[in-house]
Amino acid sequence: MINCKESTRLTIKKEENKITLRERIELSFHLMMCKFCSAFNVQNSWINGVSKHAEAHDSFSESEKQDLEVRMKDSTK
Amino acid sequence: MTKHQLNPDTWINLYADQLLSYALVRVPERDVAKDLVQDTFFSALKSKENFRGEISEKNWLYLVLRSRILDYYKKRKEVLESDFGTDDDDDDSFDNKGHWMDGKLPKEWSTDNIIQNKEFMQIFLQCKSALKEVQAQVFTMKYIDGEESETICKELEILSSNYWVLIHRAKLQLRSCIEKNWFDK
Ligand SMILES: [Zn+2]
Repeated sequence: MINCKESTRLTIKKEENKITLRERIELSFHLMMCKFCSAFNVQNSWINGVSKHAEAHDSFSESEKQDLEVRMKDSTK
Repeated sequence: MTKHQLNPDTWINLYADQLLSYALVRVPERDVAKDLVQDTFFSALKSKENFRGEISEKNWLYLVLRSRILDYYKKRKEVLESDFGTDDDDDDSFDNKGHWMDGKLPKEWSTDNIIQNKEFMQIFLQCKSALKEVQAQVFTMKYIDGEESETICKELEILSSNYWVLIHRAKLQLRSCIEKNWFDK
């Protein structure tokens, strides 16, 4: 029988089909019995989906832009 | 086919903010992201003779930035070797029998309509930045940029056993941080 640490490790490895048939069966058993690892399994996939949409919204301040412009000019001299 | 042109005078106004935002998703701090954008413009200027107009100016600048980010990862990885950890290290998610620690037990999440939420995205990125840097790097390459694990190991010159420990830790920490800072609030 695998423990929760092992089950989360296999959950992640399974994404890339990097687990053996025996590991897959043991993982299925564990997930049926353990609601915590079962929640981890669902949340892990959800985090994968979210990651693909990761985005930030930032901008340079006016002074940072002026600074950058000066340095770009200097860099070509 | 029309050839694309480069107009370096317009780069800052047209692309600086977009490139900065792109880099910010991939490196731990704004100052680092800012430097990478600056380096991108410098090296784009220097190699402008190599631009053959087959892709747009914008896509070309993104490619230059991506290569700068990869160089940054490689450079940082050299100094981060001690952060790799092994599977036997202390792990605050599980006790020594491999059972969940009390404070780390996954709870139910209700995840409807969250992906478009900008505040959630900020929490997500903050939690990613809170990871050990090398964990954040492999996580970013794998789940944000969609690289294969073999590619990541090769580029960063890490063993696949190290890779799996890093990814396992990264996922556990990130999950727990998101739960604490979003779903528990
Ligand atoms: Zn379990």
